[in-house]
Amino acid sequence: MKTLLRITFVCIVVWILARGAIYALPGDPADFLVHDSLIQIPIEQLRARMDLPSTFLERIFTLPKATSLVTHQSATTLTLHAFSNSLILTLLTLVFTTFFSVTLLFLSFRYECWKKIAEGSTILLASFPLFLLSPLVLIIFSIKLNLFPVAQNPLLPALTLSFYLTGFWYRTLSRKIATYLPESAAAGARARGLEETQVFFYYVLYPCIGSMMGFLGSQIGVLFNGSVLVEIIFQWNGLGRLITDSVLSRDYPLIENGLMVATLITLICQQLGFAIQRKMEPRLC
Amino acid sequence: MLNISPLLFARLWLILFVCSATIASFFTVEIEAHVLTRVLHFGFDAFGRNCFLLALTAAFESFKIVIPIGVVCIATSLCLCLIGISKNRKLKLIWDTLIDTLSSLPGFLIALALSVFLSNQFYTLLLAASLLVVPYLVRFFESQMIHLQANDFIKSAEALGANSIHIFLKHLLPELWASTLAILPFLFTRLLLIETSLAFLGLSHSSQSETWGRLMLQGKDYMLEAPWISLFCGLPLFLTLLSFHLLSRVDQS
Repeated sequence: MKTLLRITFVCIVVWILARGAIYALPGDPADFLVHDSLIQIPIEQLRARMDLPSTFLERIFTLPKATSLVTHQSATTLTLHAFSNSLILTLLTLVFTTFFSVTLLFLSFRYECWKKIAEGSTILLASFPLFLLSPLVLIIFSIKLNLFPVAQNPLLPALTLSFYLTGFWYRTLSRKIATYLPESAAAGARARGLEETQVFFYYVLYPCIGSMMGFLGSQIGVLFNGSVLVEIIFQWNGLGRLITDSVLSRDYPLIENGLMVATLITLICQQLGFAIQRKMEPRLC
Repeated sequence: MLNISPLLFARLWLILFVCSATIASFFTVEIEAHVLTRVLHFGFDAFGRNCFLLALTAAFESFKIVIPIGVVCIATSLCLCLIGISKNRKLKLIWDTLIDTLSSLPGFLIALALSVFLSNQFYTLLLAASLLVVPYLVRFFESQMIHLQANDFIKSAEALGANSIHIFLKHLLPELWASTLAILPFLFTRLLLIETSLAFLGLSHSSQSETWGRLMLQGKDYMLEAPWISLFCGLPLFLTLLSFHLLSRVDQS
């Protein structure tokens, strides 16, 4: 109940911000759009489509117009299409990141020499800004090696994002494991003759991930919305790219729709993470 | 030895780079006139400017934007913490909800979307920094303050009848100095990334001078024909972020 109230409160705040912020613009926004952007609509019609004659309160209590000002396509269809693309990218990134992080964690748990290699490589990956890493990956994998298509393919952006995220996930989880290991049941499990793989997954990784699910849930939300740069460089039509393009072309209905969807997804993912955390680690409740 | 070397590298890089960027931004003309032949092999950008000098001046411009925002973020977080340590339970509940809400928002996208409504891109950057950095800073300072409040000198001050503002200004703030220094590498990493990402998307604060993000945006378009634009502008940024990461790791340990 408390969670639901919080989500509703945040959505109302974002809704007021998105719908009401147009009044903060200096001068007449419709006049600006007609003269300085791609929108080719008569000014009076444009003012009506932007709900500009209405007052601040009227604008907040009405739904945004259903079509984009630039493409004249349904805003809901465009947002849903972007949402599905973002979902694919996020899921693929999660799979890759989990695989890379868990592999590195297992190797550094099992072999001491791998610890330094993993720490060094993850610090390097986390320091690589996405707008530098993405073109490099694109040139190496798509242009030089010709392994992936240059655009409209989710594999390469997902790989790039996972390289970047692995740096953060590995460091956060390894720190957690380092503090948890002395008090864990790993030594007892080893003494009972269990294999190292079983010890690692059942007695080290599972308890640590349980208490980290809240953080990981918020990371999924961030990933869902925060892949703007990667989506632009790899020309993947996700939610981030939709909002960026709408911002650059001043397409207000799309900005309002996109912002609401982005906020909802972030909140839901975060709360989902906390719910899983409560299941896996009831002591934290 | 292995622990000292990266730290030394990080400190040396930051000192040398920040100094050379500052000097380059003030004496660009003199450096171009005297040392141009030595830096020719670093290549030129699309407007015929020397990439090496451009990267240095862009670094200076980026830091010039990031440092005041960092100061604003720290000051805002400390002011918010003052409410957080309040004894008023209702106020504390509202404050907790506000900070939780701020930290759960998609900050970058909200700042990006609201940039159309803001007349100056500096406010976009400030908004993004407020949404992405301030909640973490507030929680960090709050945890530090809770530790400090358990000390005898704070309890003595309370027993003597000092109010919370007096205790904060007189006893807590000086003690928080070390924590603030420890969080600086993390803060600058986040702020540099936000600034460069916004500039890369064409929402740069300054239209006159080049920043790291704007150079990277230019370099993206010439990645195949002139990869040195991205390389010589991206490499200093990468090394700076790496230095901050190494420093923050040392501070955490």
